[in-house]
Amino acid sequence: MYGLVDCNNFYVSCERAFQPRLLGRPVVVLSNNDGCIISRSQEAKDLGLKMGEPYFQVKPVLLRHGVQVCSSNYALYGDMSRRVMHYLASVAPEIEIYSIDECFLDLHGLEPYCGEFTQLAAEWRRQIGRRTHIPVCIGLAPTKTLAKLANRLAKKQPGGSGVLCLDSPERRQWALEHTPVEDVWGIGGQYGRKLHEQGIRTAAELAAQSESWARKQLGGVVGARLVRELQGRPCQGLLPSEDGSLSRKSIACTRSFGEPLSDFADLSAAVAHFTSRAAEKLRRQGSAASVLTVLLSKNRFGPEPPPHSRTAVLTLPTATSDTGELLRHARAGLRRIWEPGTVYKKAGVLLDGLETAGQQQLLLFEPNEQAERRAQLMADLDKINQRFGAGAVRFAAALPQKGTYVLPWVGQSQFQTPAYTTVWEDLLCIRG
Amino acid sequence: MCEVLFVPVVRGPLLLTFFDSCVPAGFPSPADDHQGMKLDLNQLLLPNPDSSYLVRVMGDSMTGGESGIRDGALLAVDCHLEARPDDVVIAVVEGQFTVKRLVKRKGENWFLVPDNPSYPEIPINEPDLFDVWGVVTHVLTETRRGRLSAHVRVS
Repeated sequence: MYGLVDCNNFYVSCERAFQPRLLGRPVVVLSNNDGCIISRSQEAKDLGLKMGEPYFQVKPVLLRHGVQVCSSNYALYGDMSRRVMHYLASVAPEIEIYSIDECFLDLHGLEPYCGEFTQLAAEWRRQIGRRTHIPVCIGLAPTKTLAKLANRLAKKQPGGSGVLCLDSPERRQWALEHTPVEDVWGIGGQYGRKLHEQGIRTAAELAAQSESWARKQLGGVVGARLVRELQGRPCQGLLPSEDGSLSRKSIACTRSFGEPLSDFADLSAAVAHFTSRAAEKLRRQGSAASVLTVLLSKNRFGPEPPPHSRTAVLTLPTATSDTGELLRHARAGLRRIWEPGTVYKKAGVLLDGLETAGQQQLLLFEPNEQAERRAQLMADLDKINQRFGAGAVRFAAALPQKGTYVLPWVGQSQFQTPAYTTVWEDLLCIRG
Repeated sequence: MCEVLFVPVVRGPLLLTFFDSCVPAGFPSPADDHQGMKLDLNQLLLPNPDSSYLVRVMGDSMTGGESGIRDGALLAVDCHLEARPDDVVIAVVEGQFTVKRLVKRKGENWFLVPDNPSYPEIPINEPDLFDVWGVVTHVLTETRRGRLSAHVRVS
């Protein structure tokens, strides 16, 4: 049996955990730089507010209905996510952290000991609610794909128990019939339309197809696996990782600026800043990147026609996690796509082609000693920044131009709540 | 007769390993066998780190009583504990946080009682508008102004 635990409206729920007055009221959380809506409470969904809507466009609606607006507070969300995942790791034999608010559980071998899975899951749900004040839904099924589907249905029942266990063929059939085919995990909008054209509208109709059909129509092996999983035959196990957290296959650091930038020096510093952050993340999971992408975006709501973004993709001579090395390449990439006189709103760095650090192919002519010393330097850099705060020591390339003291690329977050659980100065204050 | 013996002479420095440690020549320390771990306050204050939170108190409604919660105190709160009568709890009343003692009187009448008698008791009339957020397990105060006082958030 597999389980999928999904936190309901996670970012909003984190805010509510420390501001109970927000319970029952419409709340939205905005993306970095207060750009667009990335999390909505049920009440906000009921008002017709959509995921990804730009804040400035829906501002009148928000004001009219007295919607509470929060800037994203990732320090808080990260800590609350960690609490939920730690609890799950303590009760399930194996877990796979799928995203900040989703976690797969592998419950094989647990059957003889725990009796009814539905009751067990209900207890986990209650415990998570008590410990973190975050409401979750749990779907249980013989495959990951079905667990995901069960979770979606559990979430759809307002006032329901929040747990759905598809442990009998009848229940599975019922769940499949009540799921539109485009909502199946792994079926995107494009495949969804294609399937509809062929008269396949529900997950049940897809599950009734043969494997060979799926192989032909749904992109080969992946499609065949998907259909098998819907039929209740597991094809995917948990993706293991040593520390229980999923190592990412790519790392991105993309932000919109607090104010528009056009000067090469400013953009270069911003890109350097993002590169440093991405490199830190890269080293934290013990990876090295072999492909680096630099991205620049203009205002997508401005008068200019698309395309609003340009990217430069660089293949690095050898996979690296050295900030200095990555900075050099990022700057070269930026030089390729930067156009003088253009106003940019956003920039980003993506690291791809990740390999385990230390196992990457070495260059024939690079002295190995040097590489070891650089690795030590990076480790020391990370240690210092961990102890004295992010950016305590950084590369000069990531500093703003001389004479400016504010980082011009730092986004706005007008409505940010304190980092209640991770910063001494920000601890929750309670009237006594 | 005399025999000439050639003794090989090492030219250049002869490097000896230097051991930077004392060689115990006396009686070994009797404490060595009893060396323990360093005491870790986290184990005492936050035995369940995933369900424990640190919060600050503003106000003196709990001052002067058994709980010893003064204005500005730091509280360790464990949210996974079931609240029992006479526990000090972080309660939510009509959407607002408050720290009080949860008291049960005759029958099923529950009250939130301040330790400081100059504040009023709050009877829990409508259980729907009331919730226990967590149970206070420890109180930390400073007797000499130090880092804790420096961390008060003025809002």
